[in-house]
Amino acid sequence: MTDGVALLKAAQKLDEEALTAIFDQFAPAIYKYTLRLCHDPIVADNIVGDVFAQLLEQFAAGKGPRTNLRSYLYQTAYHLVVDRSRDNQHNAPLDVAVGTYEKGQFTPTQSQIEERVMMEALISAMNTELTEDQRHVIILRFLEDFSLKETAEIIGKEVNNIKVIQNRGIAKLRKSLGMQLGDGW
Amino acid sequence: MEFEPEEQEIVDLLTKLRNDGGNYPRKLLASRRQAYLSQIASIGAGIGIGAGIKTVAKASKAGTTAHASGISASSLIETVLVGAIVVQASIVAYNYRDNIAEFFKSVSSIPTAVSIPVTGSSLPEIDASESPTLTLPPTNTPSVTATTVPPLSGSEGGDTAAQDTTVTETPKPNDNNGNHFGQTPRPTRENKNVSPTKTKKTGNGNNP
Repeated sequence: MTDGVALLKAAQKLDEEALTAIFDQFAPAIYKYTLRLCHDPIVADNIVGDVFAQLLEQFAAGKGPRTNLRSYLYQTAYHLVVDRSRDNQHNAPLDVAVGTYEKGQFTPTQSQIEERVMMEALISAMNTELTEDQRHVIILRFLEDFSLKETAEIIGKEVNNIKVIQNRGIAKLRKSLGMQLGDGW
Repeated sequence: MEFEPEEQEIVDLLTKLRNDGGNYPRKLLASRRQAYLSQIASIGAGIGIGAGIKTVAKASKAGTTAHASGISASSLIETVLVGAIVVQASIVAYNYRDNIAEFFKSVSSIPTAVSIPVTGSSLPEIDASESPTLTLPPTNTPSVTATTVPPLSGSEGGDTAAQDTTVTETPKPNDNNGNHFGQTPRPTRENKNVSPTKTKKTGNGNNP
């Protein structure tokens, strides 16, 4: 935490090493998060570039994040993805996660196959059953491991609202998986 | 946050997805990193110039307050700037020396304006003079001689009692009192050659 604060303070002074370290630390995660949302590796790469370009502009203008750099970067990426999806009427599926999961180069056991089936069903339910807000909240909360407060900051809603969205999303997923996989769910 | 057991399984599945997903391709990551570093360098250059200006400004402010601190950065910059201005001005003056000389000549040859002396500070006095007499051409009718108006005594609307009035006698008609009603001499008709086109109107005027 202290290192993060020191890194952030150094970056605010436009220290080149600090700025490079921030990129090395967060760019892969931002790319993965963006790829989960927008499906296109090139678009995800462009969004990563835009995120860090905006960060530099903010630091150069004496603005930018003061405390939570990670949340700030995800928030910027989220807004860029939402803007692009509005422009392209894009549905932000999570097929990339499915594709990489399916491309695992190992010989699956029986339990692994069952788990894989459940994963496919889960991802399919996320893409088809959830609203855009629910999908964003689920990704940020459980795939990116943000707290409720951080998720609320990123999406720009109240914490209680995020709780409601999350619970409704999980309930929808459970219902969908139960219908797909039988009464065991 | 606690979930129901069924929901907790979903949460566990979601957390298993955390490590899945596409990794950043190396080539894309390297090119993006390079572009980011170039952006940092460009911003750093801009910031460097800005910081230099700020430093000079701060040094100039410090130089005005601390005179005893020897040659400060502000005085050095000031000296350099003044020297540069003098050199530049001398070069320009040398290049345009002919034009400058002509300009000074033209300025020195312009005649100076002569001031007209104004005599008397007060308003000029109004000289009272006789009003012009009205002379009428001699006619047979009795003429009225104009009366002389006495000159004004300087003040407007002065005493009327002090004015001299001379009354002239009306001239005699000399048996010719002019043309009056009923006394106009009857004109005599003269026989002249009447032109043939002129016809005398007779009758009641109904003739064509």
